[in-house]
Amino acid sequence: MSFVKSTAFKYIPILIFAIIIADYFFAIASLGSIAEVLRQFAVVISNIALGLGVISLLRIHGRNVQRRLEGRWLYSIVTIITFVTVFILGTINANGAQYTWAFNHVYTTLQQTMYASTGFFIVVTIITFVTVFILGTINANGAQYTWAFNHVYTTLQQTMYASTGFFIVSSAYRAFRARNIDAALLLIAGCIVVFTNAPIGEVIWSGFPVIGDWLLGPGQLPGYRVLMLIAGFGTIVYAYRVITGNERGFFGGGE
Amino acid sequence: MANQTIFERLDKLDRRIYYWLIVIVIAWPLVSPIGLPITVKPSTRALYDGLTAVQEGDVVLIDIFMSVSTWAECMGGLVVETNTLLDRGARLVYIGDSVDVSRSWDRLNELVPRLGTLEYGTDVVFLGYYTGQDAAASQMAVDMSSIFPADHFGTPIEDLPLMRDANSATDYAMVLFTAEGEVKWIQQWGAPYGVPVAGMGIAMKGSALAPYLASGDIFGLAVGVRGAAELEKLAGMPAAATTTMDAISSTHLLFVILIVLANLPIIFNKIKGGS
Repeated sequence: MSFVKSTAFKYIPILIFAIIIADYFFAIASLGSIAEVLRQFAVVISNIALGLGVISLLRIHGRNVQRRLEGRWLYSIVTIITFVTVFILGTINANGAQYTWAFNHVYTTLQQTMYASTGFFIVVTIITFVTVFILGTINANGAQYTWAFNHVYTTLQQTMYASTGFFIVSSAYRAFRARNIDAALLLIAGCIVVFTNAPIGEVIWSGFPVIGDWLLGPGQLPGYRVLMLIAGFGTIVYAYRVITGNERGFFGGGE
Repeated sequence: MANQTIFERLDKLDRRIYYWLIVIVIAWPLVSPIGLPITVKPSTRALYDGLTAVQEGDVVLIDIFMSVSTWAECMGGLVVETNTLLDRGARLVYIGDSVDVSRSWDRLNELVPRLGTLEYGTDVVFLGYYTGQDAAASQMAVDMSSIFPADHFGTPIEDLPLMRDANSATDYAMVLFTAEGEVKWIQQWGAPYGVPVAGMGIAMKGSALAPYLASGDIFGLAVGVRGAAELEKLAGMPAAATTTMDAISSTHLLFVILIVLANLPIIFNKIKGGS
């Protein structure tokens, strides 16, 4: 184990980094097929990560139920039951090749289940759950599942997104206060950009879009570029630390 | 309460009041449209010009990143993009890394009925959902079939004639992103293979996408509902986004008025010599 941790874990990332970087920047033909396999590994690993997420979700909510955590355990039951129900309903209609089945039905269903569970938390959980559950169990051949996805999930998602508009206005009213010069400048710039994006701004004063476009362009570009460059340099430094074996955070543990 | 000044009352305004105001100012222009003029921004025009420059038979990859929650912002633009590209005789490959991409595909088919009249597999293909972000985009650039062995409906990719001509980045005339997810296409398709990248961002992505637009990494950009409305205007097909713009105007005006009202107590306090 010590050899694996001290040597193999140190040199494997270095090798992978070198191959991917060489393939990207120098397009060395002999490395192309190896890089291709490595990229497929990355895609597969990202799929596996979802499975871990599901285990984590079940563990957390299972624990909530086990401990009868006040104010949470009922929601956790709903989440778990929703997960199992949607998972089963989604996997009943399996067809096609094995990979297609696993990818289209298991993975997609898992993702959709996780998202739908979040929606259930936010909206009137019990009513929504019962509705979807009953509709799903009346006919498990797929039509009800599709209906629930198309009409419940879609509506919840759109409602969640639309309701952010109310929160933005509310938070703006309570927080956007010109308590000093900096805040006042930010407020004025924000209002100009708001009027730039809305046609009514141009109707009120034709200068709004001119100033607003300047703020969105030359006004903010330097700052944003600096942020992107810093992130880019940070990534290069991180890559250098991985290549030289000094970055071991992703091994886990504190060694 | 009775002794409170108007400014003190404004400072503690019940949020339900402005929630109801928002509902009213959204609903009013939708019921009775005002029809304020929409000026097309250069970035949107550049996107539209790029779409109209596509040649017959060119293959375009469209990444539907948006979930159903962002339909209001991006679906209008996607409809215009699809119609414009179909008018040019382009062949379209749709993919998406949002879990509900199949819903967006269904909705797009409802809004662009002629998608259903095309020969599926030859003129248009829906490969469906993918994951893996940059790694997936990088792999698609060399071999689409390794990420999508079959399309969304389970048809093996080798049975789709269009995909025989479009298995790597160099086979594509352009990539269009929807809502987000632009960086992977810039880094994995634009920079190494020179594939033109453009698309639509949700409104809050406008400033984040500006550096890529300025540097030429993306050749065009439509931002939010406004961008979609501009595309509808350019294409001469006013639809939902154009209608929504009046509501955008009224809510934005209310937004600014509320901010001014919220700041009146501070200004009043400063005039009185308070800290």
